[in-house]
Amino acid sequence: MTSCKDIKALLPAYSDGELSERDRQLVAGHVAVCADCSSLLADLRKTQLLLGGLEEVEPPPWLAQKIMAHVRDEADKEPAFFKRLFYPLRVKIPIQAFATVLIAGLIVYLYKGVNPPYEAARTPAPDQAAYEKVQEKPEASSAGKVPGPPPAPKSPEPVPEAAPPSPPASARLDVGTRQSEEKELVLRSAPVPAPAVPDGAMRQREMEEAHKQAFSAKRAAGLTAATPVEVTLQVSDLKSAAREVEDLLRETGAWNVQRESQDGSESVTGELQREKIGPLVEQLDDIGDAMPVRPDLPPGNVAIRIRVVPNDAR
Amino acid sequence: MFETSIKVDETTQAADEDHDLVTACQKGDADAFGVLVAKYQKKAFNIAFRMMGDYDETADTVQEAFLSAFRSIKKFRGEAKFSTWLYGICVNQARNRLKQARRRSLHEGTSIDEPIETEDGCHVLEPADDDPPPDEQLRVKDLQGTVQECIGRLGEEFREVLVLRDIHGFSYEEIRDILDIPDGTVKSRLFRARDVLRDSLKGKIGDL
Repeated sequence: MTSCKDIKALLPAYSDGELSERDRQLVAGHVAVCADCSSLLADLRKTQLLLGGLEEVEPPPWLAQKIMAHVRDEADKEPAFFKRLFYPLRVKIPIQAFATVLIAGLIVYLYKGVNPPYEAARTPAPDQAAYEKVQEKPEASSAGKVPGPPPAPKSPEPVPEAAPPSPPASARLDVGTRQSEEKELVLRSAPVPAPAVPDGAMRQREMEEAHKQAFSAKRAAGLTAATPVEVTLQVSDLKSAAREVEDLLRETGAWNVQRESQDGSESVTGELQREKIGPLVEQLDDIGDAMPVRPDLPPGNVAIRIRVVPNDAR
Repeated sequence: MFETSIKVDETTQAADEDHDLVTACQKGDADAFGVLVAKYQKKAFNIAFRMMGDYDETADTVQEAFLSAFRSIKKFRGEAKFSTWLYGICVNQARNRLKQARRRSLHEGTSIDEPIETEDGCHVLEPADDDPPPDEQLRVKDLQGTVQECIGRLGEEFREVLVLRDIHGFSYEEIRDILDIPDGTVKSRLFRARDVLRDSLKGKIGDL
């Protein structure tokens, strides 16, 4: 005999039709004779009816729209995420490539700009040696005869009218040192006590001053080499030789050619291409005795000053 | 074995009326998902509402459930029907919300509505002493509110099977798939939930 407790445990499955045929018949037989279990089964079925009879709730009308708004945000966010992931690369790669090329170009430009002085500083030996060789030659030939280069005068002194003892050739060639050149320029631009000179000579001085100013301006502009190349030319006939030198300089292609008389000598100045210095000096040799030019000339255009001096002035 | 599982999957996919829409969604078609939302939002809302009992909370829960489904739809392999998968997400979402709400109420102090665990592990809520007389609650409108209240007093795991089976009429197999629990567990929970609910309702409204 099955107890009510066992039957009560089977009632939910019985009401759901989930019992085996044997259990179903067992429960059905018991419920038919047991008022308590029958009442319990009825309550169970009513409960299920109440549950099944619950009305459906309508979702808020905005719910689907709200869900889809969020869904679309998510859908847009997905490619945006990948875009964000690769966007920096897509933009940065060309930018970085461009920046690299720019920096490389800048480095090359700076290297080229800095390299010549660096090279000059690194390999001064051959030029210096050649220059020193040139310097030693006249000293050796005139050993004991010619004194060394005089110390640069601290203050300008009046230059006598008569041809002064010109400095030795070695001193003239010592144009490699900018310091001595600067001193010479100072010396030349220093006020000279005005002797009783005619108007023409005064005009000549004014022209000299103008020329110096123009030359200084050019130096400042950096158009030509700052230091003029000095060539000393010993001639027998000063005036005609100076004219010839001036003509030769113009023929060579020089510009800003100026001639000036000073201290018993003539100076012809101008500017020309560096490559034309060599042929010019060779041609100067036809006019007189030209001193060699130092080999370490700067590239590009150079200023040249040819000092035409009488033979006895050397 | 492997071939068999593939055949099962293919059968499930072919049987799933939403297969094409799901495939479109997996390719990122939001409009296809919109069709699915329109189709299933009401049932999903009702499942969640019967579990939660709060209309506004239910709306938020369903919204989160659909969003979660959209986010993970690419992982959906079609082992079950889409609707089964979606309702499972919905039930999980509701369960999580209820846990959060319970944690909040624990922080704020024990609520009188908090379920009490019985000897067999079923959670029920003791009826409040100051409840109105049962006769007044037998009005049609109030009756449904009372039933909902009694459902809410069930423990979550019992409530889930009861809602799915007795309110929404899912088969045992569907409930098994939705809740991801064995068949035997579905039945035992369901029968126990009915018993407890019957007692709860009788306690509320007297004779059923």
